[in-house]
Amino acid sequence: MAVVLPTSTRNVLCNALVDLIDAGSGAGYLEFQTAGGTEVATLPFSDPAFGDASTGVATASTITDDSNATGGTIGKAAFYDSDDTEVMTVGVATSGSDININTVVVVAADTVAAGTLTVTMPAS
Amino acid sequence: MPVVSGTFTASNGLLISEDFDSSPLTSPWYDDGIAFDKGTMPETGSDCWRYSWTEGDIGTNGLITARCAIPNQSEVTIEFDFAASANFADQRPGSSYSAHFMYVHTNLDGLYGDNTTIYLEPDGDGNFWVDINKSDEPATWQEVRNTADVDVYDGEVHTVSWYMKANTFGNADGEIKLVVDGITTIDRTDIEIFIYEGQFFDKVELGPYIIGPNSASGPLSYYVDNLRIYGGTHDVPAATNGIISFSASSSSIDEDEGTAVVSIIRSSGSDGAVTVDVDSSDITATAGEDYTAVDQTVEFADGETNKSVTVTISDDMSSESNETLLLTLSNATGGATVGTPQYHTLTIVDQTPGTGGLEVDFPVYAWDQDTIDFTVYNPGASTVTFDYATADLGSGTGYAEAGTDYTATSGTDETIAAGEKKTYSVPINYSSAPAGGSDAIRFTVTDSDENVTHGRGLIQDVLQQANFDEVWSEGSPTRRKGRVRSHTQSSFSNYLHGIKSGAVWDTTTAAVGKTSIKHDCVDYDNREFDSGLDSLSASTICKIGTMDDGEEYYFKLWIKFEEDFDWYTGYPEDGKAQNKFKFGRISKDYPGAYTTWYLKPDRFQFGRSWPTAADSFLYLYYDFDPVTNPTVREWTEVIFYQKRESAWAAHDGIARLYINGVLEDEVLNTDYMNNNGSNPGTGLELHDSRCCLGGWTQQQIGSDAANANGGDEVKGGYVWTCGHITSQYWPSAKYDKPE
Repeated sequence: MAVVLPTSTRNVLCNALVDLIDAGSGAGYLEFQTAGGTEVATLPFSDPAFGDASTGVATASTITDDSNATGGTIGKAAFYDSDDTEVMTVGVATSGSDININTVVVVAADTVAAGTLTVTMPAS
Repeated sequence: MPVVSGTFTASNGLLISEDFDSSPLTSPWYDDGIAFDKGTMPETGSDCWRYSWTEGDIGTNGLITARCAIPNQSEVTIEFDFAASANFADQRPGSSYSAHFMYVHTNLDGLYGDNTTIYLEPDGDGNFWVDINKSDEPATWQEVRNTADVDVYDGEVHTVSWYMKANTFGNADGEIKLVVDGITTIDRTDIEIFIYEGQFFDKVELGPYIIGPNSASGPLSYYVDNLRIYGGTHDVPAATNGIISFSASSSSIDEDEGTAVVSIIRSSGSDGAVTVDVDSSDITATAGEDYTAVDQTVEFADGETNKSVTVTISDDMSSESNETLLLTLSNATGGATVGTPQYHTLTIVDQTPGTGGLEVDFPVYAWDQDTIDFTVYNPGASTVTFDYATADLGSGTGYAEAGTDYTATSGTDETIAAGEKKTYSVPINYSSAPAGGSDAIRFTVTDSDENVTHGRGLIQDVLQQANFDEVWSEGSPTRRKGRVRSHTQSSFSNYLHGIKSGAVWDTTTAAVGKTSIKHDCVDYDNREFDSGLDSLSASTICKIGTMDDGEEYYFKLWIKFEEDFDWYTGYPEDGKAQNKFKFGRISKDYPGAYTTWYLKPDRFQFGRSWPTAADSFLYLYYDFDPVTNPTVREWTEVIFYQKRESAWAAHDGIARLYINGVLEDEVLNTDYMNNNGSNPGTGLELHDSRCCLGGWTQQQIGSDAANANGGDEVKGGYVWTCGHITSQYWPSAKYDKPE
């Protein structure tokens, strides 16, 4: 039998995950990286980064644009807390990925901006 | 597992893109009509679009052009994926290299910057080699830093940088050709080109994509996909020894001011001695005619920040439009860089003669005339007192000199009534034709209010065509105004000889004076005639030839005119105007005193199967009244080329004169292009006595010759001349039967 999580549990787990981004003295950040892990752009989260989960879904609060991106070809994105401790890594592509971005090619000094970002703890 | 879901955007300056995912540009590629996706333009006034698309195939070129106009853009990135099959074997130069390559052709016309980078990165599927192709490097390029092949291997990033000279708009200079000539197996390799410091980026051309020979060793498959052009910003280190630029991007000067001084400044540092090159290029002004070309190096001493360059302006004394030239800064040395404005447009403002109140004409006389006569006209309402004097406009070639070429002439306290014209003769002293073809002389009048009006006369050679000189000596017949004036032609190469064999015209180089048939008008010589048609009455049609069924006339004219001039052709045997076909109108306002026109009707058939004496023809028609417009004084010869296309028969031609659509005279009935093998014919006479007030004189300028193809004798060309009309034709050569 598959594990089934009630909504309350999903909310707890989801909050626990996103709260890791808030660890440290400041706000965490989302770093777009090349496939090899080189920074392409860094977007600071709010502190706290996400609001309380509801129905297992936590939605990110305001994410600050990176208006002066380092530049490069994005291959993935990593979540960090303010102490630079990695929380999780997700895939990035122009479509069909965890995070979708209109282009993975970022030229130096470009602006990378967030639309929506959610973390979902599924029921099963 | 938790699920992360997000959407982000990168305002990465994507200007234009096309992901051909559904149909990547595989060989051969075809225009699929795809319109490039346009990104967000970086600033007002910028735009990008798909510019052109030429289909490619094996052995032919394909070309995609995306064009962007991006003011102040400081960085442009061109990116695309390229893939080729394993059959794209290593054929690097030096081995078994053949034409298997691809151009990444960025036409950087107008790019103001000078540091360009190509960024190459195979993404793990193969290596490739890049040849920075310098073979077509324009001579004006300053420096190419990397000229050797660059090997780029998996996972390796290569940056190839060079300096290139910024270029003028519309100039083909400034191309970067990235030749990928040794593809093995590459899949989706990104090739990026960064262009830094540009302020205006014109276009990007992907191609020509020369696919290679149609053979088993050629590339069997490849594709281009994901074309993207980005614009962004790029920090440019400040120059430590200064940035040299013009102080302004444009200025103007009156034509008669003599010299223009254009300021060059050195900013953002003045340490050390530096230099910068300044050169000029024509826009609408012509170096050597309107100004003296500039090609110099300007030196800034240590601490010096202001210099200038002087442009010498020529006052040609003719009424014309304002003209412009471009000054360009380049090749800064000593650590300085060239900044903006790097270009300076200098406008030469025409100073229309006659501003002094009186008007002086611009006569053109032959060197063997006794005098050159200047006419002073008073357009005002009262009598004017004035002085006049000749003066040298310069010395050496192109200028008449007092005492040598003409007798200085002057007068004082002349009076001229309102509306009156007075003519003053200046003796001409030439013993031979002026070197270079013509000499200018100034004639200046100064009225009692110190208003100065310049006139300019031109003393011309009337025959300086070396080819003709050999067969047409100056003394026979005597040169005179209205004689053939032909110049600038160096040879008769590529002219047909009047012989046709097979389906194509022979390209035999014609013997001197024997050119009779020409395949087309391209590269024809600049042959001028002063026909003097102004002597004819108004509304005259001067028919100057007949044509046969299926023949084509190609002709070129050089013309100077002061009235609109209409060209017609057709079949006006009955004089009905509606049967005339108007080719077009040459406006009197067309810029330039002499203009080249090529006119070619498609066919001169008009439904007739075989030619008769009344067949179609080409004729010259003008409907202004030269008698009441005496300023029309220079006309041209019209050169006809006859090309027999299909029909072939013995027949006669006839030249007739029509005046006001009415047949006035039949002058010569010729045995024209008779090809019966026994009668060579006399050629089509393209003159008419009624067009020549002084009567015609015929001179054969080429000898008859045997037909190289075994046909009838090839007749030499003839020249018919009269006092004011010179009609030159070469239709007397014979043809072989078409095969």
